[in-house]
Amino acid sequence: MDYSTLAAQLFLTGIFLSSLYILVTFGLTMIFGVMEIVNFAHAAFAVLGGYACLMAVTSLAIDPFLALLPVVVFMSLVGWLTFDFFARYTLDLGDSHVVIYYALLLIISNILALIYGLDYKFIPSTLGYTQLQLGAVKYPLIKALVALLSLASVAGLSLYLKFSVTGKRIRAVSQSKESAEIMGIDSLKIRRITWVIGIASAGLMGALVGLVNPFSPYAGTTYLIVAFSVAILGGMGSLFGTIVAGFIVGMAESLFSLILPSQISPVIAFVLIIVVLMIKPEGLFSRA
Amino acid sequence: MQADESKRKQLIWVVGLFGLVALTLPMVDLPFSSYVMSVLTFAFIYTVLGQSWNLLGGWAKQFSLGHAAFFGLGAFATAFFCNLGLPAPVSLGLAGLMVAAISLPLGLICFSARGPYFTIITLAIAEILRIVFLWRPELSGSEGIIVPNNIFSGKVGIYYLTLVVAAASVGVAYWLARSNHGLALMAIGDDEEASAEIGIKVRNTKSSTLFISAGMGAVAGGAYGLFTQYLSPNDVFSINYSLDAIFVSIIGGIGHPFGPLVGALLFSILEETLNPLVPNAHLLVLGAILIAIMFLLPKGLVTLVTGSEHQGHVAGIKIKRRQVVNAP
Amino acid sequence: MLETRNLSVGYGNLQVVHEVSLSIGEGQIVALVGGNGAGKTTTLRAISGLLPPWEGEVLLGGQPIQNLKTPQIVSLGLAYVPERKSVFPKMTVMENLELALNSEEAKQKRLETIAEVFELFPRISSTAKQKQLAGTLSGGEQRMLVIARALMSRPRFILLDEPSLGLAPRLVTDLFKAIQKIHAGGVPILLVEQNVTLALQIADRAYVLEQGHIVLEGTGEELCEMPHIREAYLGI
Repeated sequence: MDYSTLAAQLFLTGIFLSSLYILVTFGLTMIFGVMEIVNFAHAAFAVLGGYACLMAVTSLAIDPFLALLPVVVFMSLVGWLTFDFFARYTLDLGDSHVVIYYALLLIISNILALIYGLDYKFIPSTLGYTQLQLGAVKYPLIKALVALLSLASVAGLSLYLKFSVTGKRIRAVSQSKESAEIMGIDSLKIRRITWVIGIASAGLMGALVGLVNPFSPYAGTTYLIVAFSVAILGGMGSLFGTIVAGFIVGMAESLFSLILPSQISPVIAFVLIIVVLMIKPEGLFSRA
Repeated sequence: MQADESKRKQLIWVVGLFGLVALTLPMVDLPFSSYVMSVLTFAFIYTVLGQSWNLLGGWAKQFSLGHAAFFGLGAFATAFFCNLGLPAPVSLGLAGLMVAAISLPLGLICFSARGPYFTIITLAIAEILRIVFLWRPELSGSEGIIVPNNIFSGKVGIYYLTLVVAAASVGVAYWLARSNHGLALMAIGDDEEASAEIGIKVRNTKSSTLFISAGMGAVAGGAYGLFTQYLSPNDVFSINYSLDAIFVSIIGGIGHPFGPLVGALLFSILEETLNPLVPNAHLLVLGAILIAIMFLLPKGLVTLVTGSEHQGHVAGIKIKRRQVVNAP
Repeated sequence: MLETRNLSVGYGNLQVVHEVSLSIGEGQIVALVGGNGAGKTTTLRAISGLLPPWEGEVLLGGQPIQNLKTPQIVSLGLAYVPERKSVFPKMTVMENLELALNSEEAKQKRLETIAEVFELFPRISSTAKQKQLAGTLSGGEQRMLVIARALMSRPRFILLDEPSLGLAPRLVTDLFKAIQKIHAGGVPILLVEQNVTLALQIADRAYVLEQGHIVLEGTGEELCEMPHIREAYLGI
């Protein structure tokens, strides 16, 4: 394999990883920007989305890509319920909320473990191992589709936030909570919809990952670390920052996979988090 | 005040009674006493671990998710010293001091962040340690490390060792709560900026508390190592221990010297009964209990005995704050 | 129109406002003046619902609002313009204005209100300015934008907190001219100001707040004559 092909492979893998990282972090950073909550349970919702997709595919016997739609609907419902019965009451806890959200992560992960057991599951797909031919490079079709869908979702969400009335309100609350309150923008409604979007996008990411990688109830912790490193690097609350940081982290991971043994790669994400928090805790970009 | 006094007496009675039972248990030869001793041994270990977290998290409101780092380092350090031939209590003490010393540079890293960022940094450090130890067999042995037999290896021996250590940790917490250092910590937890304004050396207080906390956490890990006599990085550096520390403190009584003891007892009982049935089921139950406690009984189970005003909102600190704010 | 009765407010253990009773009638501008830390902003925050009052009542159009949340109070027609920069920095001037359209009435009268607002504040009305990100505006322009934004909801009552703070004197004059025009339109205003001279010039009535207590009350002219005021606040 010559260098240009290698580079192309790395680039494609990087885009693939980036697309998923951006999608999962999008919700995390939105929730922080609007609600000031660090949602440690975010990754558990992603894993839940994976299992939901698996259920949809096996019980409804539909193609997993079609199953994504009911998954998003289901996760939105989960988001709605968890907001009204849990999240809204945690808004006044202050710094100690991190503990309660970690407890939520444990509860969700362990309920999934009880139901589905600890062995790794895979969402079967008719696309199997088909490869795309892009010039001299071969890339699995399914990964390409997953990446495209992730990026499309992120694009869709970004457009929604930029141009719709509710989207603007969400951004306004994120930029200045008090001003939004003074203007009569209903904080609770905005927080609810932010949460729902966050949870649904996490679930979507989990389902998309499930199409490509095997997952287990505790897989959440791996996504969580990455999501945090992207969010912190990009700047918690900044959507643009998430996109930029997502690409940086995704590409970096793809490159590092060449030189480092895979067990060590989480250390890169952790060291990145530590370095950013020590030097410039607000991350690359501030709230938008 | 009367109510407070009688509640305190009540607490002292309860603790005294428990202490008596705990001390005499191994001497009574009931069929289940061996099992109870195991449960209590774990409870004592978790008490120490919980206290170590409580110092930072309960009083100064610095919520660490990385105490497994001290636990794991303490376990491996103790094993190391034991393998050199040193007696167990000496190894334990040395391990505690060593890890406490290591905590000083770590503190520089952690305390540069605040609030949830502090939590994330502590998690990152603990996980880095776990992965590094896993990766490097020189540190962790290719198949884990074995702690050699010593006088404390028997059930009774380790029981009394952990009892003493747990009692010591409660003592340290109790003494600290009444000291100036403790007051400063609570003030920092209340309002860090205001504390700095009235002259509290915030960085120093946090660092010295981390020193004690790290030492305690290490002793807990070391005791664990002496008990199980076999260590692997995935076990002792597991985030589960960080969580144990938090559960035990918050459920038992955040910021209260007896809190971790109460929480640890509940934890150990649930773990020993539920875990053999369904792995990790106890985490599910404890997670739910934690959430319930945070909403219903935010100062923990101890409040059932002590009433809800046990935690250090000392009038003195608040008055000082008022003076600062009112100054022209 | 707006009344407070024995309003007491504080932060934590610290009481800042002590039994303050104010009243602002239909179509009046009333000034609340006093030095730094006197409790003026705290009073406004309590009226607008951002701070829970310890004691006392707040009545808007006769209706008690002291227990309502801010969004509810705003929907009843109260607009609060805070002293701090509170534009949405990453949104354009136009977006900032449009975010204030939260009632049916406001939405229907949108074009009319925008025209009025741009007439009052020509500095931020050019097509280029409209598309500029609010965070990049100058201090004075941001202050105008915040007031303009409050007007977009077609309020029945306006709370203005230190509009002149930190602004160059020429801008301050322009700003106060605009405030007078708003007043001429019939909307009652409670104006908190450290610049006592200006405040007393445009106010119908005024209250003087010291250490959280109302120490003086009267028309603008009456207060200008009082020796205490002249010494302490007007530097005469």
